[in-house]
Amino acid sequence: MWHAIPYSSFQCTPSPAFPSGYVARRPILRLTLIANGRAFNCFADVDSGADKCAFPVSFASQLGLDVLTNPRVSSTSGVGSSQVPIHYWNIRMVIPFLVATQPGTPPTVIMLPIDADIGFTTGLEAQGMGLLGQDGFFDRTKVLFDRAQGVFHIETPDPVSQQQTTSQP
Amino acid sequence: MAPAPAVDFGELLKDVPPGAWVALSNDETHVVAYAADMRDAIKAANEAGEQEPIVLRVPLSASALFL
Repeated sequence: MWHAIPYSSFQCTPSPAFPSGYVARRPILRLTLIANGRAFNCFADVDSGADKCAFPVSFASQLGLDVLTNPRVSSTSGVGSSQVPIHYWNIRMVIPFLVATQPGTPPTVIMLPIDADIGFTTGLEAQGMGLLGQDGFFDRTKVLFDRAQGVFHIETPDPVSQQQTTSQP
Repeated sequence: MAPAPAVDFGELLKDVPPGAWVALSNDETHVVAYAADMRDAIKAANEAGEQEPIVLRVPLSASALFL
């Protein structure tokens, strides 16, 4: 089943390059990280340029994950940074997708659970949201970016768990 | 299938100072609490009745991302 998700918008401040500022459109998903019986709701940027899935290191502590005792450490590189430590755990992400049903009936939320090696790094603290990269996301789903129409599409495998809800995912 | 509504983070977070951690309502419609420390934002949201907030941060500098 394919799900259409609108791009989210972010107001960027004026600069000499863009004196009036501009609105950045980014493919953002809401998701829940689960570990140690704890759940943490956050957002992540669907980032085909990222090798792995990664989140701010402060999210790890909310999940009871201790970077000081985790031997699975590597490093990241990106524009403006390099050799930033990143700590990996194999944990679960759950991504909800809202499915419209018939008028008058509550929408259905389809949950896509993904178990993967997820990194946590100080390099994403300033951004305050995660990245869904090639390993752990793009290798589990099909993604179609239609930036011109302001929508991206994600296909979830069938069957997946469903639950009825009266609110947005 | 109708797409979910787009999230306008610029509008949603317009009253939150740069660098603050934000606890959004679970339905993504409004800011429940914000604070300089993530734990304080979550605690304030919980005390306000939102037990499952969505957490994010307002960047110190709202500029282009190259990740």
